[in-house]
Amino acid sequence: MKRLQKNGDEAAFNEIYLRYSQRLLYFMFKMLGQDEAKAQDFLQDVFLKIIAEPDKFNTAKNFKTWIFTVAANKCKNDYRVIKPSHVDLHPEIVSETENADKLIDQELFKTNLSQYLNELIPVYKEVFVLRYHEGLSLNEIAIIVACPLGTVKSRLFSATKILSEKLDHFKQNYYAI
Amino acid sequence: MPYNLEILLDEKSFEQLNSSERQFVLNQISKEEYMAQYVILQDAKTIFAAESIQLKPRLATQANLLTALQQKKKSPKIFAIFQHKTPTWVTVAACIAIVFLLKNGPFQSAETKQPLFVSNQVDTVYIEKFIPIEKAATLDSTITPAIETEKSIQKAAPKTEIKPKLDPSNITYYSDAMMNAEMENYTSIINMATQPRGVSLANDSISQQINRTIY
Repeated sequence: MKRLQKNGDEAAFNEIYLRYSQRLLYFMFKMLGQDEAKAQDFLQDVFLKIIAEPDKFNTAKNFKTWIFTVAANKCKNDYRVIKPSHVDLHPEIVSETENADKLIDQELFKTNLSQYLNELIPVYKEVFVLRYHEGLSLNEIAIIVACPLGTVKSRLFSATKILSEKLDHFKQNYYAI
Repeated sequence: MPYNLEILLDEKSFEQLNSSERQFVLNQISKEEYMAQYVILQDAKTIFAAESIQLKPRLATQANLLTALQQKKKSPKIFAIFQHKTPTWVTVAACIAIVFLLKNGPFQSAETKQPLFVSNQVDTVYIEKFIPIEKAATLDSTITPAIETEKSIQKAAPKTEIKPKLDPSNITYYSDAMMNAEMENYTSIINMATQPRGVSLANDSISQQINRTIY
């Protein structure tokens, strides 16, 4: 990043792009309600910002947390414009889950889990994806979401608990496997 | 030994926990809850990994970004001055500083400058009295008696002073109306009988001038 800041080094930029583009794309894909086209556009915007204003990055700080902060803020701005409504349980899923006892298998559990993950409110989804997909530490997540460490822990716990409650009907058949 | 439930859930199933860890976990949540949350977290990781592999950045994105980087390198650096964003507080502070300098600084005009009063009370009053000294006008002159020679008498131009003889009969009286040059239809009343000598008024230079100014 220092090389990019000093000389606009293309090799340095390519290295950054290869290292983070896939991770950022998936993070924004999840944060934008699995809208791939928008996630692709946002990815380009994030890197354009790095090109246009490389000096905004403080080299004394962690680049990974900074670039994820830029991406998270971009997604938050999008929520402010769209403000999607988050429904706890989708009617179709309820009807599916009613029959879960009969269709117990791992695939159904994962399908439901994936859907419930997408339905998490953004603040929970954000910390959940950063923690369990990106493998970031709680401190790093606290920097990215600009919250105290306790809030991050609380959000992670709440997100896991919500998912656990929604998938409660699998308890007897799936968790015991 | 202090444990972190979140780290344990991330790393170990309930069966993998040792006795102290189990004790710690059971103080927080039940065994079923732990197992449920553990399975959710592990499956979530699997889902994330599977989804992220399918998702690839557009090929055009990197090319577009490299083009943007090259264009930025080519653009003259002078434009960076105009493109640079200044924080609002810096702009406001600069404006305040300019106003302050204009009011109190060296650019202030002499008319608006306030006089500096050191003290309002006057302890001692000094009165200066100016005594004008007039120099006595002394005129040193040497009067040498001029010796009149024949030459000097010859060189000296004879001064003749012609004084008109005041003869009451020779005075011309003009009425006020005549003296007022602005008056129109002025008619000169001159008693020609009392003027036996001299040029006629028509040929007189003064009367000619008067006539010219009036008519």
